Parts: sequence; structure tokens; C-alpha cells
Amino acid sequence: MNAPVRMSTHNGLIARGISKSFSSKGQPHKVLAEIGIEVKPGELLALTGPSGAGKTTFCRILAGLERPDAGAVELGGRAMAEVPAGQRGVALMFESYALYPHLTVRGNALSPLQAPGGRLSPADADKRVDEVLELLEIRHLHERLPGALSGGQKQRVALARLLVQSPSLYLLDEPISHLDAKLRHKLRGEIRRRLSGLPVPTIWSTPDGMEALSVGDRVAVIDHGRLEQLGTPEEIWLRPASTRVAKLLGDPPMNLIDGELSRENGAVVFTRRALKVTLTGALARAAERASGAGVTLGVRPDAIGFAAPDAPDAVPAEVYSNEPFGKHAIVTIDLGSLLAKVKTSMAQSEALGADGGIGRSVGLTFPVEGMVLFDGATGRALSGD
Amino acid sequence: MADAASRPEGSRGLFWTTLVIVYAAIMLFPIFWMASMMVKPNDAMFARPTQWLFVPTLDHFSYVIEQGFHWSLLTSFVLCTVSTALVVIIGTPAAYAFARFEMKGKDDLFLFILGSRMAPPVCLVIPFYLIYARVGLLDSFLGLTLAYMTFNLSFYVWVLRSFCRDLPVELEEAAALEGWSKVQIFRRVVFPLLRNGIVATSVLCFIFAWNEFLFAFMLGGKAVTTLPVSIPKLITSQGVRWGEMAVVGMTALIPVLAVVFVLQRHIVRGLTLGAVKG
Repeated sequence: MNAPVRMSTHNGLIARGISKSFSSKGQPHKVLAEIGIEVKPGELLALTGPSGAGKTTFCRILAGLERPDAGAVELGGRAMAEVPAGQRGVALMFESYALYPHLTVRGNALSPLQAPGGRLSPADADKRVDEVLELLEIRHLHERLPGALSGGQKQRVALARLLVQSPSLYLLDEPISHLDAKLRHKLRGEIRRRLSGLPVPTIWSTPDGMEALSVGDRVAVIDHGRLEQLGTPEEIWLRPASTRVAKLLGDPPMNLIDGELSRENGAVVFTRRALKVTLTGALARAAERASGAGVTLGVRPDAIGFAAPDAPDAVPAEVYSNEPFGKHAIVTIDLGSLLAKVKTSMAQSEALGADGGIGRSVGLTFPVEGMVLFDGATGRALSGD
Repeated sequence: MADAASRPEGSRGLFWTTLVIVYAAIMLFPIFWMASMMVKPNDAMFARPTQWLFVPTLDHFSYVIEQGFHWSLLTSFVLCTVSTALVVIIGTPAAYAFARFEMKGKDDLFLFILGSRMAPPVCLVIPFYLIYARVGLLDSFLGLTLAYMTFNLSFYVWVLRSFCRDLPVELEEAAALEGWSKVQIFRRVVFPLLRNGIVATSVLCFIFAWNEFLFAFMLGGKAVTTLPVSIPKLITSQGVRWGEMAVVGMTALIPVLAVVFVLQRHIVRGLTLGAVKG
């Protein structure tokens, strides 16, 4: 950890081999295992994973509120191991917003600028706060105390306190998780917009995989303290690296079907009881790499198509439930002791019949481009490239 | 913003109002009685039937002043104020440290602090007396201040620690990230949020000290006489001076009422805890 400061090629954030354990009831509990990421200035990395995956701990380590057991953090080309939290220049937006309840909106936004080491004169600081409050449309609230604000307004104040700073790293820990869906949509775009164009690396942590895909230039998926995948939203969406990543993404998430591989007439076939899917192209090549016969087939809900029950190559199934959402519908189908979700058009949903066609037999088609094959033993994606 | 729907309806409201008034009257009657005794001539004091109307007299007041009871009042006031102020100054950082910092044997130490409060005062007053006799603190202002601090400090630390625990630690972390030092964070963030708790707890400490008799009686003396200790002097060989007792009793009541009245807002918020919301 005390290696000499290495000059890096960029002066964003570099985290290498970050590990952390907490002991609970005398048992060490591994929270983070060798997480390594880099975020360039101006880049937004979305950090996602189920709750308890270690996102918050990772953010706290980057901010200097927690010490890693191993690993190094480098910010702006400087090793951070011995730099205390207050001198790292990390602007952190807490999940709970952490607004000072006894200070007004203005007082809250001014606080980081008044802190020792602030380079702005009081007049300049005032001006800066005014600009940011104006930008976030909360200028009229500046005399209010946080207790008198709505959730969305508090969130904006927290954002204002973040944006007045000129940090070396922006850290947003679940910034919009506690807002209702409508506000979440509104503020997600807004925050993204305010942060873009600033020459500062940003990390946005969220338990919502779809939120991560929509805000991040790149997305890092953490689960059980391990970095499962790091890539562009497109890569992660199209080629989830493991079943854990696949479970986290999509609304509804990818259907994961455990089954076996076999060969029939020279073709690779995925079988689970009555369900048989012939794998072709890249999937067939991917199947060659499986460590055993057991695999998991991931099928994207929007890839599955409906067909007549007796159509050739169609998989027979039964409609279990049918939920129309206005512009699309989610149909749950019974594949024989296994339920899978299909995202389909309203027209298709209505065509299933009265009462949503519950109990009706249908045929399903599984197109190759909508499927990913995972190794049954490791849960890692099998590549056919 | 009166909400008609939430207001009790006519007859029910009247019932409750009456009930509360009757209750208040019962509770306040002894105080009224004591107040009337302050100006009642001695011959009307216990007259049967009770004399509700009498010519008021100021005799009791002049006797009390002649006997120098106002010095006891001053002694009590200064003693309680100084000891409470010291408790706040020493106890606030202690309570914060107990709530926030990890240290070896913290729980044991805390239990020890609590234990010193749990012990019956009679058990403590004898060692106090022996120690004070040896170091020459008997009948001294400093001695009583120290004694009051001892038992109030443990109470104060104990109560204020839970106030500190209720403060979200993120606030302090947010301030630390902004670059504020530990002392500045305490002054800028922790102290303002603890203010109601500090006021409520210190008022209780003040009242404990104000009402305290045993320590003041044992460790005080001619030089340092607090108000509670002075009252029994009115039981004289010529009889009990009830009127004078009422005067001193009422005087003892007034500072406590005044403190509670002025700081009411803080006390209510402080005692209901959890007043800090983001």
C-alpha cells in the first residue's frame, strides 16, 4: 500500500484490488473482494448490484470514510492511502441526503464552500450557490429548512451541495432510490444532464440495473462483493457476463432456465423436461465451451415470440397470467413446472383471448439473438465468438 | 388552520375541558394554599372555620429577610447554576464520545458511570463527608459544587448519550468530507442538533441540584446553606413559623417554574427525543 506514487496516464479515479471485510459476531465477513475500476474525468460509471452487494462500502472507501483491508485508490494522479476524507476532494451525495437539519437550503449548499481549505471568497461562494440553486430551480426555497421540504426538493438540495463543489470525484450513493417513480424519472435525466460536461469522474451507485444502464457511460455490476462485469450499457445488456448480472437487468429480468445440453442429429439441443430448444450459430459454439452438460439458458422476455401451438419448432406452453401495462404486456407462461415471463405487445396480449387467455395452450419461439448461454457450474456466460 | 372535523364536538369538548380544569384545580390547590399562607396573619393561619378573607400582612417576609434567608436563596442559585454549567461543559463531549468513539472497556466504563447514579445517596454521603473532612472541603462552595457535579454528571452523560446516538452519523461524515475538522464538526453540526437535548437534560440537573437536601445538609454548614437546608430553621423552640415557611417554599418554587417556562419549547422537544429529522 505504500508503493511510491505512480504517475498514471489519466488523472481520474483508479481503484485497484479493493478488499474489505467486516467482522460480525466474531466471523469475518467479506464485503468487497479485489474490486478494480478506473473512471476517466468526465466519465460517469454506474455502479449497480443488489442491496448488500457492497456498493455503499465501496463508495465509502473511495471517499475515505472507510479504510480498505487491501488495495489502493488513486485520484487525480495521487495515491489516497494516507489522505484523510476531508482532503480528498470527494463530493459525496448520501443515500439519506444527509442535509443539515438546522441549516437553511442556502446554508446547506454553502457549507462545503465555507469549509477550511475552500478557495472561494464569501462573495464568490454566495454567487456560486445562487447559480446552482437557480440551475436546480430551488432558489425560491433558499430560506427553508430541510424539514419543510418534500423528498424531491431535499434531493435537489443534496444535489446542489454536490454541484457547488469542484471535486476530484463525484460520488452519488443511490441518489434517487428513495423517490417515487415519477420523480425518479424526472431527476434521473436532470442529474445526468447537470453532471455531463464536467471534467470530473463520477460514480453513481444504484440497486436498479435499468437505472444504471440509462445513466452510465459504463456500468460496473457488483454482487457478493465481486466485480461481476464492467462494460458499456450495451455490452452488459446484450452480453451479461453471468447469471447474477442477468438477474439484475431488464424489466422483467431475463428468464433463466436450468437445463442440459445434448446432441440430436448433429445439432446441439438444450433440454429441460418438455422444453427443447435447438441451439444454432453462436449459441451452438458457446455450448462447446460448457464445463459439463448442465447449463443455464437465458432468454430475454422481449425476444420470445408467440406462434400457433402446433407450429414447427414452436415450444408448447400454457398461459399462466397476463398483465397489460398499456403500451406493452407481460405474459407469464407455464413451460411445465417452470414459469417464464414474456414481454409482448398489447395486440398480442389481447389476441390471447378473453380473460387474458389464462390456461390457453400456445406455442413459443426462442430466437437465437435473444438468448445467452451460461455455464451451469460457474454461472458465467459462455461466449460463442 | 383550525380543522373543524378534528375538534371535539360541543358536549364532549365541554366535558373534557371541565375535567382538565378540575384536575388542574386539585393539583394547584396546595400551591394556592401556600401562597395565601405567605400573607396570612398568624392568628388566621389555622382558624376554624377557615378564614378565606383576611387582612394581608408582610410580617413573614420581613422576618425571612431579617434572618438572612435571601443569602440561602443566592447560595442555592449560584451553586446550582455553576454545577449545572460545569456538568454541561464536561458532560457534553463525554456523552458524544461514549456515543461515537470506539474505545477499550467503553461499556464497563459506562456502566460504572451509571452505577454512581444508581447508588443511594446515603451510601455516598458518608465517604464524601470523610474525604471532605480530610481535605478541608466541608462547608465550602467548591465542595458542594463538586458533590452536585458528581451525581448530575453521570445522569447527564447517560441521558445525553442517547441523544447523541440518535444523530445520524452521515451528517458528521458529510461535514468531514467537506473538509471540516472534528472540533468544527462538533460546533457546527453536533452541538446545534443536540441543543434541545442539552437544555432538557440540564434543566433536570438544575432541578435535582435545587431540590437536593442530604448532601447540602451533610457537607454544607454555616457558610454554605442552601435553601432546602435553611427551611427546617423555621421550626423553632417557639413553634413552627408556617407563614415564613410558605414564603421560603414559594421562593424555592419560582426559579424552577421560571426555568421550565422559559425553556419549555426546548424541553418538550428534547424530552420527546428523535427531534432531528433531515
